[in-house]
Amino acid sequence: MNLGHMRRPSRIEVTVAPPIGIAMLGLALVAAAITGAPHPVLRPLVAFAVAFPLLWIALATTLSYRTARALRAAGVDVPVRTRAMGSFWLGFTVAHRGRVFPAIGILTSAILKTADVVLDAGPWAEIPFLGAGRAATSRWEVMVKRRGLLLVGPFRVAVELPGSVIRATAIFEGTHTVIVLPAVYHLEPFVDSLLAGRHVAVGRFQSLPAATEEYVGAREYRPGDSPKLIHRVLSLRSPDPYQFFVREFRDPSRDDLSLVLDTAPPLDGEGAVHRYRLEKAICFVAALCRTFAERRLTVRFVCQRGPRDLVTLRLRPRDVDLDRLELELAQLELTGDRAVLRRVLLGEVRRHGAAVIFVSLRQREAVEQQRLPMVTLTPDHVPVFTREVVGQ
Amino acid sequence: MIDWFRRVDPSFYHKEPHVLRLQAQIDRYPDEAQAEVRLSVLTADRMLHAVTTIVALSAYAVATGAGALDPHADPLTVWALAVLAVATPRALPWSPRTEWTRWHDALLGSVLIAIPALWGRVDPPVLGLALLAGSTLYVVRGRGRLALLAVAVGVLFGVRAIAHPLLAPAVGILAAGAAVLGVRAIARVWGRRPQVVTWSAFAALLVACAYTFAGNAPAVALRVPAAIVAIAVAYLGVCLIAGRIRRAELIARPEGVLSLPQSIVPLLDRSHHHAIICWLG
Repeated sequence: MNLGHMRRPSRIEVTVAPPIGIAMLGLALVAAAITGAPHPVLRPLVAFAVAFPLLWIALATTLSYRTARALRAAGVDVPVRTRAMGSFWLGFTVAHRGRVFPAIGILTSAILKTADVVLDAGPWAEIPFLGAGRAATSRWEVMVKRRGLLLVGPFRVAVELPGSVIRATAIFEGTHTVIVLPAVYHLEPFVDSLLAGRHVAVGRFQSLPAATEEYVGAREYRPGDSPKLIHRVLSLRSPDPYQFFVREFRDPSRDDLSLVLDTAPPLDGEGAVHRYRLEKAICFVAALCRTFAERRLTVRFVCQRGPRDLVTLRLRPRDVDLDRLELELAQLELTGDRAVLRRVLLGEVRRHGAAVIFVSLRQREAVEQQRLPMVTLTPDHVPVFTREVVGQ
Repeated sequence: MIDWFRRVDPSFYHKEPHVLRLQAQIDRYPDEAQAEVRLSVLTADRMLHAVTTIVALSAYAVATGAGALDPHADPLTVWALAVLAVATPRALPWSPRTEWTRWHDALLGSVLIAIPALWGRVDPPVLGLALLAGSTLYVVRGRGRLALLAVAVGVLFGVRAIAHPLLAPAVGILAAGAAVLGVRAIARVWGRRPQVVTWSAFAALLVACAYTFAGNAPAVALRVPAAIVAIAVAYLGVCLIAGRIRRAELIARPEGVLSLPQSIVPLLDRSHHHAIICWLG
């Protein structure tokens, strides 16, 4: 084992035993020494009676402290990314650089932080025996439910031999950052109803498919559709003689639909509820984009990341694009602006027509949004489409 | 489209503010819960019980000068020491208390007084003293045991001040009071820092030694090697007890911890709302 790459403890934290125990022992030692001193015959007995506890406690205390100083951080096993609601294994390898005495009953723990939440109470993983010059790894299973950044560290290693007056804790400063991607909801199959007649047919300007467009499916006939698009075979198969189906085409070179996420803070001051809705909306958007990618659709995702910071992502049905989206969503906050949002929606509707899905944080659509030919999904719609939470 | 609009549960988000206000202030692993688990581990530890008894008997041997203390000359001291040697381990929080242990204590108390007398003179007064110790230990139980311990401590220190008839009860009461205060102070701390029991045990053995050196030095001087062996056995027993307590501490530690306070998490599953959960691997 190469001890050169290992980190020394940044500091040793010493927790002293309760004073009452030390005081009682001290008084008893003094009493035994004073009462035994006048009797020379009893001297060996007095010396043994007084020396044994002192030596035991001194040895346990010294070993606890020296062992803590001799420990080294040999490695941290932590992933770069994880997903909210999923769990990951956290490993911390500690090496004992002492030469003579082994480390017995050492406890290790890691501090975990996400936003304003700090987990510093353990759990303490035990390494029962660590020989001199050896290393051992403690493992924890960590489940993070909050997206964003998870800070792992500093790590602590505590040594307290039985009878020791102190608990010596070696603290290894330094943190490791884990990006917690949003949880992805498992959506109901009928989420496709959001696409019905929106992603090309209504958004297109020409009435007939162009040469570059490709057939993507069929849907029920709606007034205004060109009779030339009627799918004769499907319509004849239909049990209802007045039911017709039309063919849908798409242009692979352009976005199929636009997805806009509301990140504007509330006007009414219900901050906590709004943040909760944002979390749900983010998970829902991530799931929706995955579903659209499975349908081989190209999605233009728009949201406001900061006061003058608009994020526009073109999500083709590729894993790398979805990863990019999730990285953006992982660190999104309620920092939008109503005026900017209004402009964005108008622009998207001009660009894509009805092929715009707006995921709103408000329970009711605003009046100006009702006039736009797009789908607005309020927080009430999220549970309708959501079946369960998928961790990994 | 109309279909999924109809599926909306209107009450779902109306519950939301209520759920958010629930802020989990429930500590899943408080010190008290850990102390309870630790105590159950210690209660199930038979080795600990055996070692505790051995330590107490060794302390009795030290305090009586390895059998040098004469029950004829000092019956009250012998009675008090026998009662303390048997009742103290039983008063420890992890000690089992059953009908069988009452018989066990009574028998042990009697034997402690009777057996050393076999090397000297066994007569009705010694047997009577052994019977008295045994019956006291059998009859007194529950909170009475704690009172019995205080009385025994009072008797031990009271008989040393027998030259002053008015002073003796005062010394006894003071000693008993000090013992009660010391035990209460330790009991308050031991739930959080169980290793305090180790130092208390060392202190109790040293007090027993000091008592012997002060009042029974000539008798002990005749049996110094035996006394050293007895105190060594007691000390080693205390070291073993410290190890068993440490083992219980490790067994009783929490296997997982949840973050506090609660935070907002994107869940439909509302079983718990902690931001981070960490288990031992």
